[in-house]
Amino acid sequence: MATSTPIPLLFRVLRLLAGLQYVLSAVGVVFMLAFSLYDLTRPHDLAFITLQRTAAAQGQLGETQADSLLASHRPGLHYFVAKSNQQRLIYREPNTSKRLVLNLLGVNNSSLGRSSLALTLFSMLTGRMLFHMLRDLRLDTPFTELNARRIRGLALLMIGIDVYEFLAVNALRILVPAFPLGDGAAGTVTPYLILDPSLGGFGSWKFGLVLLVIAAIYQRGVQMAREAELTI
Amino acid sequence: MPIVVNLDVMLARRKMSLSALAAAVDITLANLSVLKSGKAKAIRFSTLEAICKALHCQPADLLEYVPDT
Repeated sequence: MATSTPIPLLFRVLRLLAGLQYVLSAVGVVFMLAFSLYDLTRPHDLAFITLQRTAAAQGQLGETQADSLLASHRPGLHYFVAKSNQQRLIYREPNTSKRLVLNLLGVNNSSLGRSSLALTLFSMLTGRMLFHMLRDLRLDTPFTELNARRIRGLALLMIGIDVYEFLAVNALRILVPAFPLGDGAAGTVTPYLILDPSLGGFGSWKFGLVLLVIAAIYQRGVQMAREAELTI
Repeated sequence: MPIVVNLDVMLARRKMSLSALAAAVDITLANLSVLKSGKAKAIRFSTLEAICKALHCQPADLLEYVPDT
């Protein structure tokens, strides 16, 4: 009978952290859903979008642009609040169902900081997969079909979160009406919208693709392990 | 698979049980059963050597090539 190799301390610590991430994110998902629904009943609900004045080169609002926007602005659905070097475009949506969609997209984050339902769900699922993977890991037989599937799942999640972000930003542009800029030539501010709790071009799809390749190699490892098992 | 393991034939000739062979060659009964039933994908030279030694036979007595039709 072969003695099992003990799991290294690092793996045990990671397993603990992944478990914590899973549980806390699960609580977060429940809270996020509850908040999105509760928020609808409040009379002063606001979705807001941050416009950065400092990074005009990256498609954000330039200093002069922002000033002319402020000068020409007449109160309506949108109004501005200054926040250090940023202008916060506060947007009031009168339609309840539209507000729910905006809340679920993560536009309204007045109480939760940088987060959204999708991100919390992503965090929960990755934490869960990592925890289960490290829990079932045996160093004597590391290649299992289940773990191969989990790595593939993680890869698809990482690609999925970026696809989601892309769709969410576009949905946001459709949902939020255009707002004319002061000088006219710059068009509207909607092309400059930031989905506040977005990953900010994290580019996790690249990691996802790498992980897909690793999953394919791991799958071959599973086949080889099965062959080795049947070698007498 | 076109390679047939004739371990059961050799065991019958030597009037030896599978568990006795398992004890003699220090291989688990489960693994020897896999070999006997033809489910094995490969056999190590060391295993082949131990079985040949225990059964006083040649590898050709244990393995046979039967082409697939």
